Amino acid sequence: MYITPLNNIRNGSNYQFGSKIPPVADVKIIKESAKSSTFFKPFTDSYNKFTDFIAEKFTSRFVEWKPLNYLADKLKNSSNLFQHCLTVGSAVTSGLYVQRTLTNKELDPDRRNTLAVNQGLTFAVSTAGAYLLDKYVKGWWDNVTARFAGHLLKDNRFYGKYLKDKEAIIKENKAILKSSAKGSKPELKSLPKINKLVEKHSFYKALDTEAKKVLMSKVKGMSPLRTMIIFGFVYRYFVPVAVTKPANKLCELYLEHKKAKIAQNNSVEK
Amino acid sequence: MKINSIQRDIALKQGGSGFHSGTGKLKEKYSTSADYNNAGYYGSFTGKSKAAVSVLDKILSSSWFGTFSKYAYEHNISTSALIALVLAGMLRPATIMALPGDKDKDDKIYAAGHAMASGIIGFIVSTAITSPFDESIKKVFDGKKFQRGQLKEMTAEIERLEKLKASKTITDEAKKQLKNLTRKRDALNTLVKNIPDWIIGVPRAILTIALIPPILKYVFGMEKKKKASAQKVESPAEKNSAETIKTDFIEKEVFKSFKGGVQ
Repeated sequence: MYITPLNNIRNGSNYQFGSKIPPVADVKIIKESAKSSTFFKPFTDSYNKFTDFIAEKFTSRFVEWKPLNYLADKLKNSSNLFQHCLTVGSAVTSGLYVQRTLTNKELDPDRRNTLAVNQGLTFAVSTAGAYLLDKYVKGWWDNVTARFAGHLLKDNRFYGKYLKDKEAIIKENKAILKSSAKGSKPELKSLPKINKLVEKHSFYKALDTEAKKVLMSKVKGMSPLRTMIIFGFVYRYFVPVAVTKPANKLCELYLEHKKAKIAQNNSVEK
Repeated sequence: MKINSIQRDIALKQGGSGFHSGTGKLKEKYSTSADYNNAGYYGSFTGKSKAAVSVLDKILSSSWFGTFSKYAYEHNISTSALIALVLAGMLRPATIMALPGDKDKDDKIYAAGHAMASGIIGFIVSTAITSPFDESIKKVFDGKKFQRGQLKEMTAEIERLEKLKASKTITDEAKKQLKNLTRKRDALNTLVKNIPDWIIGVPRAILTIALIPPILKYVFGMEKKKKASAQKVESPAEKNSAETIKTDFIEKEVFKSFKGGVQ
């Protein structure tokens, strides 16, 4: 039996695996401390009213917008929906820079077009790279997520069990693929889903609705976090540091080559 | 019976962050435990490194990481901008400065300042604009108060089917319907959270372009002078390589000690 001072669980990182402290106590303490803070109350109250106003007048209506519902219906089975959203956002910004290049009067038309193509190609290649890297990292990140879920559920066996189940399914799928005929597409078993495993866990089931929402948000946040880091790394670090300069040099070389060819043709004509 | 030290009580013991103490306790408790090893905690992160596993566990078990993960789920755009701030505002300037080449040191400092300013503006603008919207999205999806029409019907149907599932009286067809509805609701949530990024993308980029020179001038003390022969327009990250700069920024002590290149 463990007896732990109640204050110990105020700090989330101080919890222990296998702790017998009921999880609800954690939530209650947080709620109490939030209630006692009055310094920011006027600010939080007016911010709440403001967000209520937005929710009522804008968001609740926007969610009902037919094209949005159509899009959600069409994309509901996509496993890359968040990635697509980030790509569209980046395409908008990159499009603006391409447009600025194309309308730049200080540049001659030839250079303008070449630079615009360069920018467009850089965006396309880096986006493809971001998708590939994101897919490559996913398996490892899922393991990290399971590990994180284990900490949240205060269950030191959760991660090990997840790995074991995952390995078993991978083995089964390999066997299915081996035994299936060439060219056929056999139905493979899907890997264990961490959200589902969390939902079935006794610790999670014992939580109240609010605590369940908080825990699930933490687990669900891991997937977009991975994509944000990968896409951010590619768009905001790798491309500007490693791709832009070589791409611009290639662009310059191409323009020089083109100029030289035109000059050669002109001299031949004369 | 095991009684944990009362000294762990943060009300009694001052100092030392929970980040270190909590995980230290974990390590202490499980480093010799067969349970811990059997659970695959060691040796499964990289397959080799115990130290890496220990660091990863420290991060994952910390309260700030949980808060950050929740924030990432609720505030997609703001978290993306925060990550961009770290990458473009810290890591990129550090890389730019560390790259070899002493000839264009001024250009490098300017490019580093440019990246920092761009990251800061992006984060501030994104967070300021989208945070209230994210909060309103949470209110619409989490509570019934602001739901109307299709979303209200969808939520009611999901609740009804979930009750059937819980009582194990759900049919296969209803199960499929529940899966479809949940997926559609999630997709709708993701789209609503991220569409503002598409809308603010252009004004944010214009604002960033407009604000970078004054920020570089008044915050970092840098000014640029265009070369008469500068003929090309480059991407935002490369924009400044063809420009000469006038700066008193490099005179600052902290940047004097910043040496790049392979020594």
